[in-house]
Amino acid sequence: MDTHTFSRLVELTSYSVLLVAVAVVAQRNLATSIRLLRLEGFLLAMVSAVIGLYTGESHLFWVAAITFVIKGLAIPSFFFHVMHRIGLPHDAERSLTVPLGLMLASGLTLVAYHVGRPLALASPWITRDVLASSLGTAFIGLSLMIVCRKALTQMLGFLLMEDGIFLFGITETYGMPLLVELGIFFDLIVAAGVTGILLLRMGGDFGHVDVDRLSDLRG
Amino acid sequence: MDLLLILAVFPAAWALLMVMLAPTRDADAFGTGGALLTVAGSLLLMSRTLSGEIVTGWGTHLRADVLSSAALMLTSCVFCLASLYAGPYLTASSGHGQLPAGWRVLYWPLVYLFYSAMAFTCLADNLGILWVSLELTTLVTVPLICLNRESRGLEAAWKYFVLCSVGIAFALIGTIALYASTLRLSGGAGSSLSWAFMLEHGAGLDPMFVRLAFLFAFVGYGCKMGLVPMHCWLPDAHSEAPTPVSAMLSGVLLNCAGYALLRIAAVAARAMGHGSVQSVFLAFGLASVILASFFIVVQSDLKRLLAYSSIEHMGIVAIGIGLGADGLYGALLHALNHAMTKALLFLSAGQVVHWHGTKQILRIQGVLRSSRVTGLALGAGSLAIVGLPPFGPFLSEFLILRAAFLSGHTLAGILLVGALGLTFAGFLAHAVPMLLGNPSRGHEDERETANARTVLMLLVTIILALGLTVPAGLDRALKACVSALDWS
Repeated sequence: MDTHTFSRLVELTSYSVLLVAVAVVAQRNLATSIRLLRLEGFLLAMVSAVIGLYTGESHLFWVAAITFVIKGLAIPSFFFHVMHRIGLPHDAERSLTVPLGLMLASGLTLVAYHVGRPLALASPWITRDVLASSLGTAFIGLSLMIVCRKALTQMLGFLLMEDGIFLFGITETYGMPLLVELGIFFDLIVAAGVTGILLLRMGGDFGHVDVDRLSDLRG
Repeated sequence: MDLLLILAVFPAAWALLMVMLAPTRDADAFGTGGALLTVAGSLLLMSRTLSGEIVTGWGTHLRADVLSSAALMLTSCVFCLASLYAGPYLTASSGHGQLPAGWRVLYWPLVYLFYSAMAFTCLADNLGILWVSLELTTLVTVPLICLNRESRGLEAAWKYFVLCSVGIAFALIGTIALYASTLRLSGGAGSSLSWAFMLEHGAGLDPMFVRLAFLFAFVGYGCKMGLVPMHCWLPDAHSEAPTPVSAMLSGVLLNCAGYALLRIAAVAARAMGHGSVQSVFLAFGLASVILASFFIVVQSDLKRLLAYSSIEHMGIVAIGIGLGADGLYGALLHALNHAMTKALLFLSAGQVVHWHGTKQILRIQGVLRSSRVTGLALGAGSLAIVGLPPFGPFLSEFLILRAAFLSGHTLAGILLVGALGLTFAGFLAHAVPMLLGNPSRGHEDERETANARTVLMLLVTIILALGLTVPAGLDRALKACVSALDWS
């Protein structure tokens, strides 16, 4: 693969990741959000595979395969499962309105661009321009966790943030050591499991998963 | 034989063994026995590293110098004491219906996994593995916090998970950025996630990169350490967890996060100079101490009072780190003193809360009369935590204050003295009415279990001994830690 095609491919997929993250904020249907999350997993697997093809590092293909299975298939399915078990109507879960969400997302992308600028300037990679899109995705996920005080949306935000950091890692270093990647995947799986259990218990004990109504602990 | 790998993996294997054998009756004996073994292991490691030897393991992913083994030893000691306390505590709690009976089978494997994750944190050379294991400590303790099937525990666990995983995600960005900065090292030194490698090549790393990495890592690990303004999860989590878990969360998990932060700070200081790194510690430390002291004054819940006091003391540790070599010496000593004192306080307060069935400070009184041992322990712990002699924290706080004034940070010193004074008044105003007076009806003669008595008296002895003198071995270890980090 020649350098030009490579950089175009990585840029295309990275910007798509950011676009998908914006799309998550730009609508209020939880089921659609989870489908978008799945798409994001596929895109991330593609980025890893492309970088693997370019650099010839075979361990990146493993990373791509694991990303495909975990972020693309397993976690979205598990998320759907949890959502159905709690029995929420699909669009009931979001306190952020669409225009506000879009404004937030564009603002955060600007912040990401600004924060990442010194890094991008110092970077020797040809794909350094995608840095803002990875940090932007992470920041959008972070804001979903903080602004939306609904547990399922917070979990969505957490997964989005993980995706952004994953993209940051893979485009900024062209692959962390495989062991560390595996460890991060392991944490991700455990985190998904733990949140699933917590959500199911919250649904069972409280009859809702609205964090705003959890206010026994103050001061 | 790979000593480090054994030290880190053994607890997880022990947990697996307990799940497979499921010894419902002997679970406590199993749990306590394993904890004693972990202490023996960390002592063995300490005896090797104290002379300056560096132990590596699992390829080069694990590495222990004297600071790592000191952190591991502190962790294992508090873990062992909490485990000794836990057996009878679990029996009593399930008797009262606070814990479902089946949870005992889950408690032990979970705390062992928790310990294993902390051991990996202390022994990791690879900063990626360090991050993975520190994140794992959050994930493992989430189920432990909502062990008592109360809705408050569930609420605390959710907030803990959300805030800590957001925080620590920042640390991952920082870690990746540090790794990326080693990729750009000139002269083909190679890329690595090892802190030892980064420390060695620190001067060659791009300062701009390292600054960004350090700030991200500081926010991330600082959140886990409970520094203001990233502290919001801490009072909830520490106050809702079962007593032995609270003692471990406050006593050692905060220190593990501080350890991780210190490792990255040492690298950052090489690349961008000690001054700018230390001023970050100083600012966040002061904010923590001051804010926590106000919350201590207005607190009405006993365990939340202790949790805010943990924030305050982590702030003192951060201030110490921000004051150069002398301050770091005091900070490390203070981390030890705080771990022991806070374990003592949480364990004795847990006893009191268990008897009274409430955490409201106003509804607890006459603890000294209702039980000599617990009253004495709570009293000694309270006097120690506010920094009165002859207990350990007095000595380390004194060293940190001295470092502040000698190094010319007069304003920081004055602010610290003010906050300590406020805490002194606030904490004792809560503690004294609980200790003195007549016990309320039905609590005139309470008895703690033999295990609890032993653990509490042991901890009182330790903090008293640490207040009278710094033993020669400890002094040597602390000095070696300061020089290993090349802190100045």
